[in-house]
Amino acid sequence: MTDKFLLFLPETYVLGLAIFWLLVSLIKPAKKDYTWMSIGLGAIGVLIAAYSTFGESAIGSVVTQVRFYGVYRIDLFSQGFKLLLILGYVLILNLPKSEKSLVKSSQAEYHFLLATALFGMMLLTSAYDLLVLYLALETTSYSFYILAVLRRRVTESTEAGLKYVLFGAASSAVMLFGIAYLYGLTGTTSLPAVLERSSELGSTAGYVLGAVFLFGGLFFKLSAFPFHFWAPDVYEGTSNQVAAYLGTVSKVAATALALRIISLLPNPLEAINVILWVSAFASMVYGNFVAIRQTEIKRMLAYSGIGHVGYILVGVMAALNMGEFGYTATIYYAGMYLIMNFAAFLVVHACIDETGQTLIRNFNDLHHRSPILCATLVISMFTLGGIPPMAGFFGKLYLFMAAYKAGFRWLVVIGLFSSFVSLYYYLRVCKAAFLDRAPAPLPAIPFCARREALCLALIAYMLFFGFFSNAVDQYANIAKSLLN
Amino acid sequence: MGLDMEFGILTAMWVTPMIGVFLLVLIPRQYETAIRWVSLLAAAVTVVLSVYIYLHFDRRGGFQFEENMIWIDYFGVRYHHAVDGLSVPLLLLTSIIIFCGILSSWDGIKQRVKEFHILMLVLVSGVFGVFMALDAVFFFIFYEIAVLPMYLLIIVWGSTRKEYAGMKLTLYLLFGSVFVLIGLIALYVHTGMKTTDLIELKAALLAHPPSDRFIRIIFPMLFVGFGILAGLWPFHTWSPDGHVAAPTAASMLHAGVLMKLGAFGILRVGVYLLPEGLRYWADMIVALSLVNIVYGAFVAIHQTDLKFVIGYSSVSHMGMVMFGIGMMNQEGFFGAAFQMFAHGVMTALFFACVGAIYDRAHTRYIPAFGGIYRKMPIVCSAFLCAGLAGLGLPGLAGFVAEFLVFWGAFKAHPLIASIAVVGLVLTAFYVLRVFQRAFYGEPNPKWDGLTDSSPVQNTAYAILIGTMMVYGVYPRLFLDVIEADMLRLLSEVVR
Repeated sequence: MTDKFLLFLPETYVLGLAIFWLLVSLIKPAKKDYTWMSIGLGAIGVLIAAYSTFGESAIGSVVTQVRFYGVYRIDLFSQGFKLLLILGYVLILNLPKSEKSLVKSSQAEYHFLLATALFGMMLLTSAYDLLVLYLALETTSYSFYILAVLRRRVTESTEAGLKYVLFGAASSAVMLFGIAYLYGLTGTTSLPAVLERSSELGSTAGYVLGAVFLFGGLFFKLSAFPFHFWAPDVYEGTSNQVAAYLGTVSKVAATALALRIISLLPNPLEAINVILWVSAFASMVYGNFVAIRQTEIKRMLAYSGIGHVGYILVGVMAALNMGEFGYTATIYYAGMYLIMNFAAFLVVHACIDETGQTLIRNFNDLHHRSPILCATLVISMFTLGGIPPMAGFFGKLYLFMAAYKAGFRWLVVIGLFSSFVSLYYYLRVCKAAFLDRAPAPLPAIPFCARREALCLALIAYMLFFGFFSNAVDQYANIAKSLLN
Repeated sequence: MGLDMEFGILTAMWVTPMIGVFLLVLIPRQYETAIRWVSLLAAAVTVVLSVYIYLHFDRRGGFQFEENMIWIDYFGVRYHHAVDGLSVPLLLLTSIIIFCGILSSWDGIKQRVKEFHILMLVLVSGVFGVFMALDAVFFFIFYEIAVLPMYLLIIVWGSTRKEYAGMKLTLYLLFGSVFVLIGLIALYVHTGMKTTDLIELKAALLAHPPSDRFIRIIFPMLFVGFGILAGLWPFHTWSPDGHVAAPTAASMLHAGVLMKLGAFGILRVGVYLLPEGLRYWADMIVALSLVNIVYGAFVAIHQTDLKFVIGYSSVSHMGMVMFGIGMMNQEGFFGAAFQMFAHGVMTALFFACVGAIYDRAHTRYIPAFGGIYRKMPIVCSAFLCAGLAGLGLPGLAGFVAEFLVFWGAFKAHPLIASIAVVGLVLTAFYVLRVFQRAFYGEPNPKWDGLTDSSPVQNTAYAILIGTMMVYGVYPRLFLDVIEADMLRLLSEVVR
């Protein structure tokens, strides 16, 4: 009994957390800062998730099981991703609130919605039924719709929120439409049962349409081409914390879902291969080329994020076509992406100017203003660009090895060249921080012990994780649990 | 193989600069002298280590000082380091040049001293790593570590269109590494994704020879990818721009050592793994490098900036390395290896001299000079030594190298060789012309205030000239080391 309870502990805890913050928001607290409390509560959640992943013994002790009449699957994969998600959540909490980005008076709502979004994403990693999948996705989306407009007094924020709602609603309708088709053809909403029949129904138009629409909803969450339009505007308009949350944690959850769906396909479906190929290709090329022209760092990160989703989709394709190695590489990359993108957002958030804007030129003179932030920025840019020996390089290397093995040689060539293109704009950011002088004095960056400590940890992680660790074995275990 | 061994002297070699970096991070930035001494000390330790390796290297060749252990099991990445006859002299070259580079920037670098030395040491650590790595992943990692600090070195401490040149250099080199990476991934997948160890890859390729088509596509990828770093025409334009813009010590390292990484990569990865590829593409390589030699020399003649003259002479001289490789005979291979070493020392000396002149005169415009020999005899003599080595004066290392390359060339392609000799004549022309116009000629009263180089810089010149002379007078010191391994490599190519 306790074992079973333990398995659902992460979700239960996060749900409790959400209710707690809802109650706090009802009390309408004064201008008290709840950051430390939220981090503390989040850290307990991380411990719980870690305990539920690793158990008392070594990794791999989670027994795969399907619960609740076959709609919810617990395995090492889901538990590992839950750990990753809650870790990302705690990292986001570390972005300090300020008048320029997110007013303190709405912090209780902010915490509540972060927690509900996290709850939805956790469900997503375990979803084993189309309905659960849809509900989990909507829980996440609704939380994000409100989060996006929490920066109420700013026009861009409202515009971003509206755009996000409209795009989100449309894509969710598309997804529901796809689910309806799949249900109509197979008579069941159970994910494995639906996908099992892809071998016989794979050539019918209805099934293909259903699968394509299902992936359309997923692409929206990932902000992959052609469902990427919302990302730059929403990132720019919304508060930095929410942009970071959207850019890191939310994409990891969507990646988990994509891998889950792919893993249940008995054999690669031609239509899925085609849409993945097109989307991966277009995301890589479009994201990286458009990012070159951006002067706003959050927009740039949004476009570079589209590029990174392209790489992830390459990994998903490799997983679909060659098995375990591809899953391992993709999971590895997704984990890496969360950390390196967060590091970039951390520096972005520390360097906002008086008007709350995040232009690249705000980084000018960063080298003098805060050496440690400068180092974090440079290393996160190098990691995002995939320069060895940073962890991001290993992520990309594994990904492209897997894709090459799976036979997508042109995709590998295009991926590597677009990642070469991306280096141009990443290096430009480094140059702004390291070399460019500010025309007018920029606001000083106050020292903040928590942030500096976090920076050091992130630098160490990005520098050494790929090079000095055999963690990829653990990722392989996670991939295996997904396939069994 | 497969033995798990302890870390050894090779690890010490690439870790030493990293320890230096770590110490530098801890020293507060205002203690500039301490910073210089720490980095000089780190460089000195690597000199000692490389001399030790050079002396204790078994002249019968093969991979020695081996360290081999599993690193990332899942992908078959190994921590496998060893040196053979080709890499031993290059390690020595690198340590000498970093030592002299730190000496010659002793009073040249005045701002952000700490970061400058940190980046230099990171760069050199990467270079050491490339010369000893026998695992493709480690090789690539070190290769990138060696390439990237250059961007920051140029844009912060450089001159003459530094931001443009820095970005151009970085993008060109990274463009090359994309090709290299594609080639390596293809080889890795082709051999069954079991290992990234170059020796095991080689064994796997021998056991299951790839198709001709595979070799014909992958070899040029590796060749061009590495060739961009070696200044291969038509991808050479980053090199003069980059060298001109870079600060003195960075130019020394870059032209002296980094360009050799390209040529070394061609031999260690490209030719070693796919010898048939060289056989198939040899004529193309000869043609391209011929353009390098002759075109580089012609362009050098027309430059009015001292550093551009040397930048293009590097293009021309690095062409000789690839020219030698393309000849596919003993003399050509030996000459190519010797030229890597000789050109490294020579060009480092060139840049050290030009740096000293620029620090004092604040210009490198040749027509603006005149008669500065009277004021700076030591610098000008050192420059002359480098120039004479470049045009192949017997008794200096450059002579032996160029002699071997052309000997090999006349044996293989007499006609092409006679065209390439033009490059040599042109070298004599531009070196002596610089000498005549800038150093002798009408004394320009503007330069009466110039002082000669400092004792610290003189030490650097002495070390570099000494190295050139030792190897010029007694080339066996070099040839004995490389002979066995180069012959082994060659025997696979011409099989």
